[in-house]
Amino acid sequence: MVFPEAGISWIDREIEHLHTRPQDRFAVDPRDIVIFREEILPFWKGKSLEDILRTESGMLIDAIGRVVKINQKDHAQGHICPDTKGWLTHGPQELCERAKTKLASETDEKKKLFYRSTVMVLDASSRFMLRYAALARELAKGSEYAADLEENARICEKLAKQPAETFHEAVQSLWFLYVILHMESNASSFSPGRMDQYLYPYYKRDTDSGVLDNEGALEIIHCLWLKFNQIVYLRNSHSAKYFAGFPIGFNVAIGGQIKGGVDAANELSYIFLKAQEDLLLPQPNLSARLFDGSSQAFIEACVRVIGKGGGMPQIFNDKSIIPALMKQGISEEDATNYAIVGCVELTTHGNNLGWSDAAMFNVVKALELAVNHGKCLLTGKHLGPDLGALDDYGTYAELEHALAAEVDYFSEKMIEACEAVERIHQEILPSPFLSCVINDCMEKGVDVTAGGAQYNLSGIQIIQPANIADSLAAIKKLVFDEKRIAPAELLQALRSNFEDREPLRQVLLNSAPKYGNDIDEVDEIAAKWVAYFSERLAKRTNYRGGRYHTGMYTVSAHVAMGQNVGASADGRKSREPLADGGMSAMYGRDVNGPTSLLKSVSKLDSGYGSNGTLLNMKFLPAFFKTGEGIQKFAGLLRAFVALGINHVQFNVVNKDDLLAAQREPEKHRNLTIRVAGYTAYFTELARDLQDEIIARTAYGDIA
Amino acid sequence: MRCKNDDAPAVAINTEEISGIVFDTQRFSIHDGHGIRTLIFLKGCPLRCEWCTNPESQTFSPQAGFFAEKCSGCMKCAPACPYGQAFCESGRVEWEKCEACMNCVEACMYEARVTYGKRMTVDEVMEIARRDMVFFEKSGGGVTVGGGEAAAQPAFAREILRRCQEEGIHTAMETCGYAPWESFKSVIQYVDLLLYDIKHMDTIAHKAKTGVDNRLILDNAVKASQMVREMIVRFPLIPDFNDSEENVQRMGMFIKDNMPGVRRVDILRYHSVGESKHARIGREYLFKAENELSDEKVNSLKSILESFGLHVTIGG
Repeated sequence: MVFPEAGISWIDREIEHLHTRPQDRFAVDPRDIVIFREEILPFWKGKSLEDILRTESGMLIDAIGRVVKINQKDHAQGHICPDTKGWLTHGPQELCERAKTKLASETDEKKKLFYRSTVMVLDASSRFMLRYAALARELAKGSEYAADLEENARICEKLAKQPAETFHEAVQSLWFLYVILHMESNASSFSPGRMDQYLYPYYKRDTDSGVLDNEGALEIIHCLWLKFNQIVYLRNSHSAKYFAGFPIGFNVAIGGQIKGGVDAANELSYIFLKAQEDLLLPQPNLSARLFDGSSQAFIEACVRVIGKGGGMPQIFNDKSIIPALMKQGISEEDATNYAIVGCVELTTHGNNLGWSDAAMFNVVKALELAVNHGKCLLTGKHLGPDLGALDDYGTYAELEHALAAEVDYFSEKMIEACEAVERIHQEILPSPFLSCVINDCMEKGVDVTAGGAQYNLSGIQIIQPANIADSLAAIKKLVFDEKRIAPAELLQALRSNFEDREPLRQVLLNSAPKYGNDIDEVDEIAAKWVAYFSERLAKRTNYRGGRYHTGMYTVSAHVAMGQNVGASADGRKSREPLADGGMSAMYGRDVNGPTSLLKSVSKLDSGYGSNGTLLNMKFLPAFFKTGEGIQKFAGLLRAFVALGINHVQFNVVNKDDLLAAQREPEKHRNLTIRVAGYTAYFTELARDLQDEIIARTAYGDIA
Repeated sequence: MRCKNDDAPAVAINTEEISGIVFDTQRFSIHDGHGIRTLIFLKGCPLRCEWCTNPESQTFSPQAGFFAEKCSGCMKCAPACPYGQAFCESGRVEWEKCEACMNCVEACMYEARVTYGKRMTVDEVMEIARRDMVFFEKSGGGVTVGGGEAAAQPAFAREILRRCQEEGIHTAMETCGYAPWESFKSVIQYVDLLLYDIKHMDTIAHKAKTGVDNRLILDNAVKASQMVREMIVRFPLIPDFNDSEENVQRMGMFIKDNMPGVRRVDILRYHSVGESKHARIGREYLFKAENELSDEKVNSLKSILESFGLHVTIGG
């Protein structure tokens, strides 16, 4: 399925290579290529969001491209949590009636147009469901699953006219909603949010009346979980590098609290965890909300699933997120009911176009320009203002001043580009169906892209606190405070990518403090620049009249963004990846263990992460094998809540990690292994011992 | 290697500024007591176990270590060394000439040369301990003092433990138990959980491989078990040394008869990690085992201990 109104030129460029490109390949039927070239392309060329944006703002977007990545240039925004509860309660027919009533009394031509379009899509939604009913009935003939298919047909037919009543109907209705949303927009991350809350009344009614038991509910959830893996979103090859691995972002949140600090976890939360444990598939993106009042049973259930190694559930922290959202003008009720969209982006339920992936701002690149006359180290081109170079600045403060100037300059340009993107989305990609399930679009008669939602945020990601802190700390300590390295010498080393200057690079790596080790002097540098960036941005208003706010996550963009950055003063070589995640330390540099890392991360104000933050941590599988280990891990999570960090997700160390650590010890210096009642750094073990431990992991038994 | 003050316990200077030699600190320890803990390893041990996994913790004063695999051969250390000839060849150290001045550690850019051990005051130790307070509180963890042998720096160890308890931090101590009782008692009075190594029940065998007699250790074990709130016996299981059924029988019997408060034994399986670590401080690894410890064997020894009503874990 192609969406030519959003992007056509990139498909023209890439269609032959989609099946061979390095990241996220797609098979394409040669006959489709012919249709695309002969019918679709000639009609849409020059009319798509992509083409119009390129004509109007291509120069601007390219000029800032190495510092700022502007998103949503050839596809719809997505990243939204629709009002699924409302959809289940009313169904398409009732929503359609409401739109018709609105249309009848509306006088404004633009709004009439909006209501007319919503009537059309809602009516089409009902017909779409009837087609499913007809197909199910057809398939039922002579099938061994005839009874199931007949039941499916009955449900689909009913949902076309009436709201859902049973658990099974509610889940089917929910799935219809998400399928239709994906048909309207080619976008990722339409997220169901707190399914354990709004599906609970259906579950409760059915289990109380005895028509459903937990096994039956689990089976229905298993099926839904499988469905979440069936929609795959086609990105251009550049975007696929930034968001690698076919992410689609059906984010489901469980647990957390409801009004009055009451624990929200219920039987469905556990059923969802069980489904995750059983299937271990990439979707849904299961997120557990924790707070002081989360039960020990719920936390330990989460830990047991984390121990399976699928990286889920990821953990979100009510304690810091609710106030962070309220700081953005969100009501306490909506903030308490927050959900997550896509990977880690924070949102309210059903009333916010968060535009959470507006842009990524590479502050590490801005620092590169600040130390080098505003010139790119990779190409020598002038990109930003020239305030001097590292050997011109007499003090650290002068360097900071230059960095601030680069940040300000590119922030200004970024906002200009973001406005252009949003404006063209309004013109080219109105989304009437989505507008039916985002409050208050229907009420106002305004499309969601045009600011119809109650909340209209725009999220900008700050990339990447760890590298900024490590680089500035090294310059401050070694160049300005201790004067161990001459400014010109460091600048030359950066320009030459440390060629013949390995000892100098080692000094940068080993003699300056690194973010992630609970060392205040470096952690505070990260906190300071996050605050600077975020505070400046907070003064601005986006094209829909909402606020800009910030997040700290990259998905996989730390690799692609690193390719844009020359050698940096933290000892990172040219074009190497930046720190992963968003809040994480640079690879292997957090050598004081996980408590130190969490302490470092907690020094960055969570309020500046209201668009979402990402922290990756890795643990050994043995941690999850005993009840005692699970309890200790639960203790770690409770401390995470107390520290007020927005997000963390956990991977379990596997054999590949250990092999990678052998190959590149510098990047894995933080990996510890338990040997003989003693914990050792893996990279410091003798080679034969490393081999032995790797051999042991083949049996999943590293301790 | 020749080291000044070898085997001489550090002496407290005065009560205000008590300090000692710390060989390492490790936050987020999950194997040495309840919850999430911070480990403070004090340097210096009266025992010389051949298989020691931390040979760099044995002597009482700071010493130099060398990671041959990290050495780039840049030779920046050579001029820094007062015995320059010690580095006449890259990747080689003549340990007998080292006076532990640590100039070479300062000069090294690759972290190939390291210092094991540094003098710290109790305040400095407490500053590290307090950093993970929130993790202690949420996980039921605390501070564990280990070594080397913590009881070999009694004033320092005692003051760390006392201060922790004063600040509401749960305390644990790992010990080999080899210390004069009065001194040992003064330390463990501030211990909430004692992790006590018992290596061998036979006096001669014990002395042969650890360098000391086991009688003091067993006496202290009995006395300590009557004194501390909670005690776990740790049994480092070393092939061809203490893995006989007879030895394990005797141990189980001893614990059952003499240490009624002890309910749990942690078996720590031998690992050859000590071998490469000996090389890093220029010491020969004397321990050689003919036989390997099989899982069956470990499990059968575990059953023997369990037959005395003990809860036994493997790992610890």
